Amino acid sequence: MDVTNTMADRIETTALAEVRAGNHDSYRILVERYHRGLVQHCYNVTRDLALAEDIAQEAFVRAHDKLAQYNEAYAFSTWLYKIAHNITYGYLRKQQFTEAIDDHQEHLADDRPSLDELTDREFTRQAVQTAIATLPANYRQVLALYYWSEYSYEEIATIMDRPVGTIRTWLHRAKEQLRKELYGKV
Amino acid sequence: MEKFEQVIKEAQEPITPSNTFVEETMQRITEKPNRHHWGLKLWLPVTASALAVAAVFVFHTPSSTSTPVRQLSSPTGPSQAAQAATTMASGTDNASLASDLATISDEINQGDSNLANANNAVNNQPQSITIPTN
Repeated sequence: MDVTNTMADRIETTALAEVRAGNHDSYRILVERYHRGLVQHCYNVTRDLALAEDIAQEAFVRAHDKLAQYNEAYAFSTWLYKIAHNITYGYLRKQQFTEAIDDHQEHLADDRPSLDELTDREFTRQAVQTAIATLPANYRQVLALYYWSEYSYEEIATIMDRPVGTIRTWLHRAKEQLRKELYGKV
Repeated sequence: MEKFEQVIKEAQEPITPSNTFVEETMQRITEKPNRHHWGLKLWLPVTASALAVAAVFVFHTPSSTSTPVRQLSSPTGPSQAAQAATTMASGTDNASLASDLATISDEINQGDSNLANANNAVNNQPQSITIPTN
């Protein structure tokens, strides 16, 4: 696994150098490596696949256009997720996404299968998803980055441009709020 | 990891991006340089043409001398010279400009002459002061 990652990292470094030298086609290597994880992450936050793909695509394009600003002290993926985070929050502010989330929750509730149709595991998963959708956007983002994208506190702090202490606090509060929401339901 | 955290971890709803995602993204990225190229091809001639027209306009403008003359005709009082300048502003060729300038010069000279006459008249008056006595 480590050997694979090291090899992929080397290919990524080479691709970045080639893109900087003007070979834009080499950027495909980076898109292919990260697009599944990034679209998944954007979906975890927005709960809208089409929107998640739009945000992820915009993040890739902006990362390409601003590659000169990329600090190699951080992983490229961290920088990419940071751009996606900024786009997502810009969109959430612009569209007043809170209302959309509420509508989406009602939509989810309407379409939710009956208890008989669900296994315990699937029921639990849907209950957690619905509860996460009620959390504030920054809590959803922290949960998604920590548990699903498996970033460290430090990496999440870089992506969200907040101190590590703030990220720890947000994650703790997100879990507490989620526990209250789910208590008695799971 | 406690059980609750495990529940959260397993709650992720896996999605699959569309098959065209990579191609569409790369299309956006690789098309940008071409767009800039076409942009330059379009805007360079347009800008050059506009500059050429502006240059021709600037070099031909001095034949129309209304602007500096209008500065001369700024309201400093209802003098004859100002009236002449206002009249001159309507002149559009060099001949009428020369004629207008000559008129202004004559008016100024006439004004100087009138002022000299007035000064002489004042100086030639007897210097006497009458003090009323009751």
